[in-house]
Amino acid sequence: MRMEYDDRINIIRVPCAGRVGPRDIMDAFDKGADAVSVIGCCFGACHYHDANLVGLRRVKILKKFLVEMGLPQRVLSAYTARAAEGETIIGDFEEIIKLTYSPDEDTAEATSDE
Amino acid sequence: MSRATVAVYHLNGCERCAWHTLAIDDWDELELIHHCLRDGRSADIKADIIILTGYATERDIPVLEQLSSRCTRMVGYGTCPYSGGIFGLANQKGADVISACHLAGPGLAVLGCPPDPQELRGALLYEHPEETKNLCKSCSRKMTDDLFYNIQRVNAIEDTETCFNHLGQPCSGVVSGSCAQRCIDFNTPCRGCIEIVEDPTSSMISYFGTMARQVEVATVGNAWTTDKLSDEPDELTEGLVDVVGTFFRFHLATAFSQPGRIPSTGDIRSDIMVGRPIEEAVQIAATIYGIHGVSVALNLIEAYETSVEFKPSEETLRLRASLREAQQQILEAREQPRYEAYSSAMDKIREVAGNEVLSNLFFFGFKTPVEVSKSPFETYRTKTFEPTAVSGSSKDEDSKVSFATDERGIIREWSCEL
Repeated sequence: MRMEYDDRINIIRVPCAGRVGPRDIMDAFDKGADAVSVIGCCFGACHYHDANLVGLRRVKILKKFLVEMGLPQRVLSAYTARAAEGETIIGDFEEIIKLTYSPDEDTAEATSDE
Repeated sequence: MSRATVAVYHLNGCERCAWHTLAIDDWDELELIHHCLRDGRSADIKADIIILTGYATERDIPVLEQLSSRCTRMVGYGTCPYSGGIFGLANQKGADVISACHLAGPGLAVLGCPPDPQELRGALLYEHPEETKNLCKSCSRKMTDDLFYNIQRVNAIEDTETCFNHLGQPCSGVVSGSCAQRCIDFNTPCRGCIEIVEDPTSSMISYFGTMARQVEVATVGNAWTTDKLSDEPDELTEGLVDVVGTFFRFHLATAFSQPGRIPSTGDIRSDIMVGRPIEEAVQIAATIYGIHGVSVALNLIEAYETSVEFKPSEETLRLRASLREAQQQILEAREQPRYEAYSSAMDKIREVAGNEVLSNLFFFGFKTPVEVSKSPFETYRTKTFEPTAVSGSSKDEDSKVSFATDERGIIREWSCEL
């Protein structure tokens, strides 16, 4: 992206949000990631018919798993963005960094259903 | 020709697999020189083959290193030494269950919870043991093209023709091997004790996520995004009340390396039971309590039935009494552990409860017809089961169980004295 964003963000390019499976996300946490965001195409605009919807459900199941393990909700998120929506992504990055690295505001967010 | 010597070392956990390995006594090709149930739990053993049973924690690493230097071959029996097994679920509450087979070096593992002793014989005596086939190949249920629209929690008693996954119940048979217990024959979805693909848990989540593409998932828009995955519960998460226990039941210790942050209750078995849905609790209790499993599972069922004021039929009570009787045989054989005593009692249990992990047992009755029963199935079958908030306790001469669930039917308190 030709925009400025925090250097704590590491972008991994994938062909499709449906390509991101539970193992990829769990590996990211194993390798020290504080939070993972899966960014896919808008609903209805999938090149592979409905892979972004499938990917969203996989992420949701894995998110439930992470919450059951006692991790806060914020560590995994998924959303859609168009190619021209660089600002959306930067904005969300800022939000994630704010939630991850400022523990004071974090406590209200870190609720789990367990 | 001298016979190869075998020693059995039981790490921790239920002793069911250790009882199975007593069968080596009857095999002419092998000589059982040390068995943990007979000669005590000592790591000071030397043999050609050392068989590991039970789960390992980080505390056991020195023992495992010592054992691996004293044998030519180390074989894991059961899923526990391979991947932490069902006891790996305690990692959700911060335990440190690890895989023993990966530490012990390249060896061989006979998987299953519990496996068949004949599989161990094949693995020990033959160079190329028979390859494990996928469980779906031997399942009587048929796959269809239909997608499901809502996730079913409680076992679909009515439909016995269609694949569980197409009915909206996660069944890990698609990523698992065929096994000795065959829960699928007793109206119970597979939870994947035999791993035949690499990383079965994430494969299963991917598969089920694909199947669930018609199930509602909540999204939310915020200042930056239009469609963002919501943190709120939705149909998908309401249906899958326990992702850890459903998809990760036998593989949590190896699938995810971060320890869970849920507070522990102090007892590993209580840690495993807390957080599990009530409909899965019978099987999990029967699995983790080993030779006391029958008593604990029946106490759990009776405590539940008492608290919802259900009176089981006479045939149900008679079948349950015969299960307790069979368990007494195993408990009495503890002084002089022999495989015949275990297997003859287990055959009786299998006739009624289906398999060693009691898949056929359920609240209010049984899931499938019991062959030894003379009465028609209607007199002892399962009534419609709705998860509700209950609490109760029950005891018999072997164990005392008390538990409480929340309104979604998830166990929140569990205690069991043996």
